[in-house]
Amino acid sequence: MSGGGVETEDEGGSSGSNVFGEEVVAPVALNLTALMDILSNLLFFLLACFGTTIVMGINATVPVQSPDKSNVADTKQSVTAGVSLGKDGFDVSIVGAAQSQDELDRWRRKIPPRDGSPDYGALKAHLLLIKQTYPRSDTMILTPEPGLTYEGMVNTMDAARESEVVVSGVSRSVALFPTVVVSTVIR
Amino acid sequence: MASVALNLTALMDILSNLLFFLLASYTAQSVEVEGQSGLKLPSSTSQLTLTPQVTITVTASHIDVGGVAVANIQQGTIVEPLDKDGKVGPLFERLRSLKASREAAGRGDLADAALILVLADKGTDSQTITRVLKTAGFAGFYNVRFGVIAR
Repeated sequence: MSGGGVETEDEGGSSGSNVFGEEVVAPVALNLTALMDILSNLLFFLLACFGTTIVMGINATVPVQSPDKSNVADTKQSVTAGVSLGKDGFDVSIVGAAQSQDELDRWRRKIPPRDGSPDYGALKAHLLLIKQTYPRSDTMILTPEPGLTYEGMVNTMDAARESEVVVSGVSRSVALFPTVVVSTVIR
Repeated sequence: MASVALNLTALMDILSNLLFFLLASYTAQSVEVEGQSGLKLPSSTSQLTLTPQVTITVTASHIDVGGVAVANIQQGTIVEPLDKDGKVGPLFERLRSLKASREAAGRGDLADAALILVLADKGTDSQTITRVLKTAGFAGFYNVRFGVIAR
């Protein structure tokens, strides 16, 4: 198969017939340029789409009653953050077995919505402060109020996962509370 | 001047192979992510890749497990009544049977035996999500991976 020019070939000499006496059929030359154009366009389109529909995952756990394991941090350098997501913003608190109640209460903070939507920036900043004080912490208990959307839960988990910190002029990503336990409001 | 005849057969072969591969991948992904009406995953900055798991899909109209519908959703809430523990009965039964069949196949002790993938529409009520998670937890799937679109 060839593209472009037309080629003729005489297989049986100059008489126009082959050795069997049959008439020689001129080879067909297909012009594939247009097909190549279409295939190339399809290829680039699919390559572009292939990279844009990647599904990723966020890990979380469900509270499980266990006699030998607790989600509450029990060292001086670790606490468990509790983030309640409600219509009037975030309610952030921390719990820990090795801290006094006064110390834990100092970190309690309500973060109201900003311009009608949850203030994820303020939440991230407050969690960063907690993380800097208790650097071994990694668990957050997320409690969404009924009536809020799943997208809000995902955005909250995103805000709590990591933060950019500038150290000596270099921006670094620091893990905040990547371990999420999704809980429910008990009424 | 004689015209140059290029032999494009090999190039056509390569292009066709690439085309079919990409078409297959593209189709497989769209079936899982956008194949159901009422399912638009939220976007996230997470970089965690997914592996095939038992999948609970929560759309605007129903909940299914591995493609089998188990509960309906109307106006953002689950239609099926909850039991005294707050579980969604049909969802619990389906998950328990999956768990039992996995254990019978000798896969009950694997690292991801308690892991479940949740693909939920971004507009789903958080209460529906927590009820699904609670039911999954009761059925022995207490580790959850939320499927999201990479931002």
